Amino acid sequence: MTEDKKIKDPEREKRKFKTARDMRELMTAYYTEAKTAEIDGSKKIAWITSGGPVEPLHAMDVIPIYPENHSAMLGASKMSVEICEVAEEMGYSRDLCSYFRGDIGSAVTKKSPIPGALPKPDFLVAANNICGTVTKWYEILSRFFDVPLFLLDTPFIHGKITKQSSEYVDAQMREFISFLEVNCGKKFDHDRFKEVAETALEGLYLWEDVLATCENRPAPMSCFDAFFFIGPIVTLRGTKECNEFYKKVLAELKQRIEDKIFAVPDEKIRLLWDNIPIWTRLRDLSELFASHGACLVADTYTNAWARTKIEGDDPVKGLGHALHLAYLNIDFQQMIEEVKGLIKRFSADGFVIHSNRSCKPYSLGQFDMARTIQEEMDIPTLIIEADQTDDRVFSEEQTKTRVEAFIETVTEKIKKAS
Amino acid sequence: MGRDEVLKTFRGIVEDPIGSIKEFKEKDKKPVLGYFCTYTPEEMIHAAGAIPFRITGENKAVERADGHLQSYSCSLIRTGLDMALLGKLDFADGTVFPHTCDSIQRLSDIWKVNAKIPYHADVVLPVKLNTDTARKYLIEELGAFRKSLEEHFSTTVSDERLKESIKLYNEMRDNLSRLYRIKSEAPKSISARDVSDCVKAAMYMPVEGHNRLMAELLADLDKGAKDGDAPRVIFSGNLCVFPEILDFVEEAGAYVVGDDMCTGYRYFVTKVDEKKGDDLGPVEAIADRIIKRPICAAKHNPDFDRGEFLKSLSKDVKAEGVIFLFLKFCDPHSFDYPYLMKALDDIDIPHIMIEAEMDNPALGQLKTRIEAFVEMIRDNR
Repeated sequence: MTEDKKIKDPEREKRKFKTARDMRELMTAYYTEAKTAEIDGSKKIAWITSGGPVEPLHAMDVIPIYPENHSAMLGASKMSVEICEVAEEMGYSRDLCSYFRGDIGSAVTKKSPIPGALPKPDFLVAANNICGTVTKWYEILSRFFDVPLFLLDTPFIHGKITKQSSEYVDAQMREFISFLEVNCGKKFDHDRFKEVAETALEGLYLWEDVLATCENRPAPMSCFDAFFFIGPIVTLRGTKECNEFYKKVLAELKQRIEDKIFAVPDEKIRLLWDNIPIWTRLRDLSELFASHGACLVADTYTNAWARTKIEGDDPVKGLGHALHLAYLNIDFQQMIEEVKGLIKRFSADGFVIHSNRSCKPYSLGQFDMARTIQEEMDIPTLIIEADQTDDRVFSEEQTKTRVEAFIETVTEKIKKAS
Repeated sequence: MGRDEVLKTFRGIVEDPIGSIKEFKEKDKKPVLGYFCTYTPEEMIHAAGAIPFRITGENKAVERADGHLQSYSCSLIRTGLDMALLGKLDFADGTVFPHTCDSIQRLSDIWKVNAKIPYHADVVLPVKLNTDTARKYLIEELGAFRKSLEEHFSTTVSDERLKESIKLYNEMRDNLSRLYRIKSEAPKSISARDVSDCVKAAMYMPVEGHNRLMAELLADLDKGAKDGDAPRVIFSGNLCVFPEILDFVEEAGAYVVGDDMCTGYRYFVTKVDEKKGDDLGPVEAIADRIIKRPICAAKHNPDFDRGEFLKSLSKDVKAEGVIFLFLKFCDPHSFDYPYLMKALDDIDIPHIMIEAEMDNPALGQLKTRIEAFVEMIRDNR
């Protein structure tokens, strides 16, 4: 490496998040604790889906592990394709969710950015409020590790939530508590759970505040930063550490607004992102948009953790209800309404849609959604065909061309309006 | 009618399901309700005075659905939606969407907005089938569907009417089960394609007519037409959309002696317990059938092992080879495939996998693969 390459761009350095280090430390501590527990058996380990009931696990001193989060890490560290190929050799179709393929491939090969890969689960918890894929995925894990699985079945919500489905979810929450008691060998501590639920609630409000800082024009961070910061609200929700961390992030974001440090310094265009990130291309896409003065100020993905809160006097029931209402568990007419709300709240000029091969419940319906947003709000939309971590389906040239054409359309529209 | 005439009638219906169901609608002066998934409680639709029919898409290139569904969704939902967008289903009085998989679920959303069909029902069946709470929910959800039918069609779906419908559907199921037994014991008596026609026709025509024709067919089959030497093959997967594939197997000198498909065995094998219907009520009895039937890969039931089921089915019909037949992009079945494959490896039954796309048949290549597979079974002996 030559000397001059080592000189860092001061503008860029200024925009680097100081709390990014806290985040890395937090996540490292979390995985270290889990790896230690795997060895010494000090705590039980449960693998859980991103929409699953994690708060009761914390109340039972169980360490929750999120394979989805890990698969995203495989993508971000560009290990995913090689590991997905292992799953494909096992007979799993290349058309299946790349998070799943990454997860099973990593479980078999132990390849991972985490030394020794994810710690083995003592039991599994899946909620199908995000997709039917996790039902099958966790059945496979249950056979692979020979451990029990609890499935929280959250009937899809067409229009209004029905009385019978609501009662069904609630009944299962009670079954889940019994499942935990059996698998942890101790009684469920309802007082402790109440505390965890309150901490989780505080965390969700903090996360909401973090995301809301981007209502500021220009935005102090972009959704690419939010994709980075989302880890703890998913994996450590309900812990004090999680909340302490987001307080720091929030303070930093507020300070940035004061110091006029913005994600895209010359922010001219504000955009909304839809779907799970393309983890393998975060930097490329971030830079591509920024080079045109475009900032992705919000997204439907990280916002999914700021929508539903545990409410009411009975936190078990409240949690079940909140999980039932998950963003991917409602019909797309309701999703469109939420997207409209985000576009207004964050003053977005355009809507960038990731059509994600891995995620049908998130992606099917996007074409109709795009048309509705375009027609009813006069907001230009862009559809990027890609995958959350299977980089083989990403077309760099095509994406670049389409993004540039889209930016041109949005720019024209802004010009006309002013 | 004799055997050949019955089969000709069924073939005609299966080759033009939409034209046929239109005719039945006019003739019977009854509303017709389309559905995608065989978990649809047909008895309820029947008891509401309507004719249920299955929408199985079309074997042709999509014209309009690409504007609504990504290329990575299965061809059943893409061609099915295409039919609706092209107005081919305008005659239908309603569509029923039981919760099946992520794709059917979102199809329902898209359908509701874009298909111009008056009645739209989502029957959000539980995915989990092994618990009492799931059973309770299933019964309530079926009850809600019953009420919705009553309201929309201004009718009463009484227990008595439901029980009558259950009887008729059970008769259809019995007939098809008997046919499958005959095919397995005397494979020469009827071709696999004809057997498949009998099953599919049940999805495209009024149950009463199907029962009549099946009785005539069953009386006229040569139950001694055995062929001890030919390889015996079964299918496992979701929909058999290309009946030509069945011909390929039998033209290659093997017999299709069973299946675990939703255009086949899974559709009819389990009956509603009529006694239970009398004791507990017909809705509970229908719910129990849904719980008891061999599961689709999209369902979760730890008490039902699809691998064990495939093994025992293979043994029962003395299968020597299994052809996995999936629609491409069907996630639930693709997830189960490696597990089922291993189950067969454990008992030394060879298998191949075919992924089909309705808008892109590529049948010539399939024929060659199937011939090679049959040859391999022979060599294995």
